[in-house]
This record gives sequence, C-alpha cells and structure tokens, in this order.
Amino acid sequence: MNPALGIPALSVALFWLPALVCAGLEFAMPARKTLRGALTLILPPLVLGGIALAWPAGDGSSPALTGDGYSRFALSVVWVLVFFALGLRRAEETVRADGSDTLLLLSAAGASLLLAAVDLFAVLAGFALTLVPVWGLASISGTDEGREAALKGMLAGILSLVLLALGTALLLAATGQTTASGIAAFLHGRPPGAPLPQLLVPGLALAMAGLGLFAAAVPLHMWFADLADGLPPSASLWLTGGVLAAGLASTTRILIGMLSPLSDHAPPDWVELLRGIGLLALLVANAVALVQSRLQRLAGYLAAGQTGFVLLGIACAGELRGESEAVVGGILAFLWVHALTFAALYAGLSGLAARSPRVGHLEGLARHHPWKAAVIGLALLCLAGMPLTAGFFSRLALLETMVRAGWTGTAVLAALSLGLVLVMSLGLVATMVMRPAPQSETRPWHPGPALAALIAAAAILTMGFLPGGLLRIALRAAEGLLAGP
Amino acid sequence: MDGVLSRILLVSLPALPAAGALLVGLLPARSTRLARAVGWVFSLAALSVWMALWLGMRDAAEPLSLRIAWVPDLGISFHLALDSAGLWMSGLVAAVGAAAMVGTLPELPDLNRSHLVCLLLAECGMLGAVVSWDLILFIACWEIMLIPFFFLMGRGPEHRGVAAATRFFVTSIASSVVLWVGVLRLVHLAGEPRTFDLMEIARRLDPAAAAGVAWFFVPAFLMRLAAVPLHTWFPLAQAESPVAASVMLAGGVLPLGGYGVYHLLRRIFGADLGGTAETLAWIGLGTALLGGLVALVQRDLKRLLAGLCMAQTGLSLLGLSLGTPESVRGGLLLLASAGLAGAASFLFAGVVCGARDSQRIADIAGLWRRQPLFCGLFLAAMASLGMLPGTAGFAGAWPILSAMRTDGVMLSLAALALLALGGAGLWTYRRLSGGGFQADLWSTARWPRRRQVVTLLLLGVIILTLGLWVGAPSPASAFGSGGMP
Repeated sequence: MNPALGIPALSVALFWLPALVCAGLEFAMPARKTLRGALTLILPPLVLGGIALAWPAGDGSSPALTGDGYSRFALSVVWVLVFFALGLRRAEETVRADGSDTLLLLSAAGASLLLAAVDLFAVLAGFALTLVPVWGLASISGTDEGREAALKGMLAGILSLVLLALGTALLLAATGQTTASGIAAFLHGRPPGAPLPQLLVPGLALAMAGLGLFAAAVPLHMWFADLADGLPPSASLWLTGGVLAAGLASTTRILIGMLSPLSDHAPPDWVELLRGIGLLALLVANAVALVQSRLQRLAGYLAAGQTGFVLLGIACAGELRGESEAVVGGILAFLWVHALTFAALYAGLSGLAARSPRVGHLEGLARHHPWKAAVIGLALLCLAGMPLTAGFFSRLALLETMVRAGWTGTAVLAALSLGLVLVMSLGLVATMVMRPAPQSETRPWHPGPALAALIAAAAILTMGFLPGGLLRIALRAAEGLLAGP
Repeated sequence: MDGVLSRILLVSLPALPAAGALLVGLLPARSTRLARAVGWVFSLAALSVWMALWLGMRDAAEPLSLRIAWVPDLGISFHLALDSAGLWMSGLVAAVGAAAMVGTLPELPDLNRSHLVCLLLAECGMLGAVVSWDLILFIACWEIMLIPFFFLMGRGPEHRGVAAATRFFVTSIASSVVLWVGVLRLVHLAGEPRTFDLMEIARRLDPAAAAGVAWFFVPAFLMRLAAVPLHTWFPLAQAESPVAASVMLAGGVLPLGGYGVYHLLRRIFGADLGGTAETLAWIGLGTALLGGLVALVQRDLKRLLAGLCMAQTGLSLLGLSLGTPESVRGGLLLLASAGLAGAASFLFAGVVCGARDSQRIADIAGLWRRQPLFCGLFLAAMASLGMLPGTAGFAGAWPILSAMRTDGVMLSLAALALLALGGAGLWTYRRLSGGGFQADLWSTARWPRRRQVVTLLLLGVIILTLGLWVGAPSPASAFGSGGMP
C-alpha cells in the first residue's frame, strides 16, 4: 500500500462508507424499524474488522494522517462505542427513521479522522466533522432542551475551531510547521536560550485552548454537560464516551511529543500548567457532579472529570520524558475503560425516562429492575475506580505514573477526586436500593440497551479481574505512537 | 495438614462468604427462609474452615501461603497467607461474622435478602484483608468492605443510620486514598522489577529512602480503629446504625484497623513502624483515655459501649506501637478482646434497646428481674470491656502495662484509662441489671430470641476462655515474624 494515498482512501472506505450505507437504509426502508436496526448494528463490527485487518499498525503515514498502533487502538475504542450507541438508539427509535443513525455514523467518521490526524489542520477538520453531526442530533431531538443544547454546543464548538485555527496559523507563521513532531523538531533544533519567534507562545496557547475546549477541560467544560443533557441518550453516550475519547486521544497525540521541548524552550512551564488544569478538572467537575439531579448532565460532568486524569497523564509524560510509553499506555487503557463505563451507565439508564432521566427515576430501581440497577451500580463503581472493576487498574496505572514523577501530592488529590465520585456513586446506589419504588408503570428493558449493558458490564468485570491483556495491548499501541512515523 | 488441602482451605476462607453472598443474591426475593439458611450455612462454613486451619496450623513451623501471578505486567500477585497473627485475626472475623449472621435480623422485614448479602460481603472483605499479602489485594478487600457497611449502616427504620454511614464512608475514603498513594510510593521505592508483594517490598526497602512513607498508611488505620482524632464516626455510627452493622463494626472493623498497623506497618517497616511508633503510642493512649472518660459520663448505652470499645482498641494500638514482643502480643489479644466483647455488647444492646425503644441507660433498668440469663451472659462482655481480671481484656492489657513499666507517665495514664474503663463498665452493668423493671414500657414481642442468647453465650465463653487461657500469638514465636511466606 502506498501510504501517501492509502490512509486517506482507506479512511473514506472504512469510516464514511457505513454512514452512506446507513443513509441508504434509512432512505430505502424508513418504516422497517427492526430490519434497519439490525442491519445498522452490523456496521460497527464490520468497521472494527476492517480496522483489525486493513488499518496499518505502523509505517502507514501520509502528510496529514497516520496509520499506527496508537490510532488503531483509539479507533477500536471509538467504534466499539458507536456499536453501543447504536444499540441504545434502538430503544429510542420511533416508527420512521429520522436520520439519527446516519448522523451518529457521520460523527464517528469525523472522530476517526481526528484519531488519524497528525497535522493540526487535519485535526481541525476532524473536530468540525465530529461536532457538526452532534449539533444535528441535538437539533432534531425535538425538545427545547435539545435545541438549546445544540446552540450552546455549536457556539462552544465554533469557538474551539476558531481557537485551534488561529493557534495553528500562528504556529505555522512562527515555525513553518503544523505537525506536533515538526514543531517539536523546530524547538529541539534551537540552541538553549535562543530567542523564540514571538508568535510561538500565543499560537501554542490558542491551540491548547482549542483542544481543551473540545476535550471539555475545566474551566471550558460547561457546554459539554449542557449538550450531554440535551441530547437523546444514545447521542449523549456518543458525546461523553466517543467524542470525548477521540478528543482526548487526539490531544494526547499532539501534546505528548511536544511537551518536554516546550517546557525547555518556551516558557511558561507547560507541564505545570497542564498539571494544574488536570487537577482542576478532576476536582471541580467531580465536585459539581455531586450536586446534579439530571443524570445525563451528571454523566457530562463525570466525563469532564475524566479529562483531568488524561491531562495529568500527559503532564506526567512530559515530566518523565524517557518513560512515556507506560504513561501513554495508561492513557489508552483509561480511554478504553472510560468508553465501556459510559456505555454500561447509559445502557442501564436507558428507558427510565423519555428524555434526560433524573435522580428520582432511580428510586427503588433495584426492586423493579434489579439487573438495570446492578449495571448502573457497576458502572458508577467503575468510574470511582473501585477494585475488581476495570476502573481500578486504569486509574491505578495513571496514579502510579504520578507517584513515579514525584507528584505525590497530586496523586493524593487525584485519588481524592475518586473519593468524590465514590460518594456520589454510593448516593445513587442507595437511591436505587434503599428508596421505595414509585407506583408508576415500569417499562421492560429494550433488547438493544440490554445487550449493550451485558457486553459492557462483562467487559468491565473481566478487565477488573484480568487487566493484563488490555494493559499489554495499550502499551504496544503507545510504543507505536512514541516510535513516530 | 496436607499442603494442597490447607491451601484450598486458605482460599475458601474469604471465598465462602463471597459465594454465599452470590447465591443469596440470586435466590428469588420471596424465599426468605431459604436465603437465611444459605447465609447461615456459608457463614458457619467459613468459621468451620477457620477451625480446620487452626487445628492444622497449631504445630506448624511455617506460615501457610499461596502465591499465584495475577497481573504479572504490574507485579501483582494473588498472594494469600496466614501466620499466627493472621490466624488469630481471621478467627475473630469469622466468629463475629457468624455471630452477626445468626444473631441479627434485618431492621425492616422486607430487606432480608440484601441484609444477608451485605453481611456476607462485609465478612468476605474483612477476611480477605486479613489473608492478603499482596498490597493490591489488600487494598481491594479494604475498599470493598466499605460498600456493604454503607448499606448495613443506612438500612434501619427511617434510615437513621444514613448520616453515620455517610460520615464513616467519607472519612474512610479520604483516608484510604492516602493509603493508595502510600502503597504506590512504596512500590516505586522498592524498585524494579515492580512488585506489590508485602514481604518482597519489606525485603527490598531501604529504611532511609522510605522514611516518611509510613505516614501515608496511618490515617487509614487510625480511622478504622476509631482512634483520636479520626474517631468521631464511631460513636455516631454505633448509636444510629442497625444491630448488624453495630456488631460488625465493633467486632470486625475496629480490630482490623489495629491489625492493619501490625500487618502492613510492622511487617514492612519493622518495630518502629516506619518512624510512626511514638506518635501512634500517644494516639493510642489518648484514645484509651478519651474512650474511658467519655464512657464514664455517657447516658446513652450504645455511645457508652462505643467509648469502651474505642478505649480497648486505643490500648491495643499502644501495645502494637511499643514494639516489644510482649506488648505486641498484648495488643493483638486486646484487639481480639475488643472485637469479641464489642460484638457481644452491641448484640445485647441492639436487642434490649430495640425491645425498650430507647437507648438511655436509665430507661433500660431491672433487666436482671426480667431476663436473668441474657443479662448474666452480658456480664462476660462487659467485664472484658472493663478489662477485669479473668477476661480477655485483662489478659491483653497486662502485657502492655508490663511493657510500659519503665515509663512512669505513660503507665500512670494507662492505669487511669483502665480505672475509668473498669468503673464505667461495672457501674453501667449495675444500672442495667438493678432497679425496677417497668414491663408496660417494653415490647410485647418475644425478646431475646433463642439464637441471640446462644450467640451471646458462645461469645462469652470465648472471652472467658481467652482470659483464662492466654494463647495470643507472639511476634517472636515460630512464625509471627520470623518465617515469611
């Protein structure tokens, strides 16, 4: 395969074709809900098969896109989440198709582009192609909250795009480069103490602000929780699990090689800055989640809190320099577990209410729907990093890198933020178990979300007991990223 | 005992309650009697397994150990082991678990199944923590036991225990996350290849480099021990929680805090507990004094008993911190005494306070006239809490006092604590047993139940047996510290 042509062509074939097929299905059989749903559900596994068979695990670069082990791993996270989101969609679907499946798949294609992008302009395109279909999903949801969320999401998204575009332009002017490795090489090539181009630091700051806004890093996270709340559950899952994971994976790819030379050559201390933002994200977002009464908004804040862990991991990689593989491996494992956890959480919440369920909807759930309550409880405990769930090892790996970097205080605060999540989680579990169930009619669990819940919960437990396989694969993928194109 | 059989028994010790919890959880909600029978069988089976281990290990020169690689990439192993101290503590937990299972009932009749599941899971977590010689396994069990306790404490009528459960939970989490980070720091200091194995870390650790790390462990153990200044959760929890939670907290959680000091701090850092010994000794003494003095002025029976339990565990912390073989032996014996007497006392208090619908000592008078047998059995527990000669409490306190004979100030303060304890214990017993019994103010339902009397009888027999035949393990004995699994 000629890498220069191969990756873009492969991307189109693998990632955009499913959206096209889905659009065709929606057009051809708008009223045949079951058949269309079943056919749509087959698409993500096909893409995953394509990624496994055709996506290069190394040496597959074009100037703007790359096919390496890192992107392969991150793509698998995203497309597994697409499968879960489409499973949840089956419970929301009305009789006639409304284009939601196609929009979801289009957004997934955009996220896939984002994950393969090494050039900041390609990242910009990935941002736009990921977010625009999400705005569409919010707009067609038919509720005031959805439309308001779409507006907020659109404003934040446009701002993020503008910031990244401006930052990229300034970086291009300052260094002549628009790839992370190019900028890092530019910095490495300068003698210590040599004056920097004036546009470099503002360019970096703007680009990082754009990335931070997209990845819902505190203090730029408000839009994210609003959008998560206003979207239908399946799209909300896609946003909190897939879009965020793609954004964080892309941010990691861009910053990981650039951070150490940046700290050496371009003050301020970017590692410390990222560490501060990461801690702030963990503590603020998780604390705010404690007082939420709308469950999708709560999930949005929890997801924004997860950003903090990843940012701390990136900062650790900058601090540890020579030992970045373990950190990046930890981040990848963390993203995989993040996607599974949110899939289980949303699958459990599915069907509780037509729109964003409230905490009150959980009252007495353990009596009416014990399996639903069990899945929600498991997902919440996983988010809190409880032992014997996948969340424990994924967080342990990142906490260990913090300790290795000598950031013991930071590790304590990060672990304390898990305590906040645990307090919130047990509060919700207590609501499900201890509160009397209301006398309202209970709806059966739709097979789509039930299947998604079963798979996600089984994976969380399996990885909680046997995390070795996931950690090894993540480490190999990280080596792929750090080896460079 | 055959090596394979003994290892099977070792795994069965924590696994049996877990299997029981799973089985009870899967039973139909309405099969109350069957669920109770299954719960009893599994809890008593765990106690029987402990007895078999005790019989097999009485004359063993080496500790019993089982080590299987779990996550080799991270250096985590499934390492279970029992030495004499572990055998001692696991026996206490198994006995208290069985006592709570047989002697308590759910506060709300429809919560039978979850009551049993929580009790079994709590027992599993506590037994797991005792036999874990891998730090990750220890943390897993240490954290997991929190969840059943949260529900056991908060499930009384009108959820009176929720505030106590929340305080217990939040304090536990805050102290546990520091423990997590301490463990990671230790592993980092132990160097490569990475290991979480307790004894391997102890072998590799350079005391100079590890100075200060022991402090990361201290809050978690002090909190569970209800030692000053992290004791405030305990009186509240005992006053507000249902009987089952009270029995398990006093009989299991408090002694486990002390065992944590022995199991981790002493085994890893040696007799000076990583530089924390002197501070811990004063904290233990302060806790003993505070508990004794508070008990003297209490009018609430459960709060008074909480004070007595705190005082005992405080003295045991003092013994463990003094570091001499005899004081450590006394400390371990006192932990067992506090556990057994605490469990028996709170079982008694739960029954009589429930029957009288009051916790005021003044309201619960004249018990000797109405229930002479039940009241008489309570004397053994009360005498042990008051550390009167002939009981386990005295047998544990004496070696600690002997170890302090060169320190006049400490000895005087400890003696003052003992006086306060003895006075509070005897005076309270006199107030409860003497005086007139106002039958019209007491419940007309049958109390105590036969099984509660039998449970109290068995606990009393053990307390007196330990007091008369002192068989606590000595750290200088064959495998208290000499033989490392």
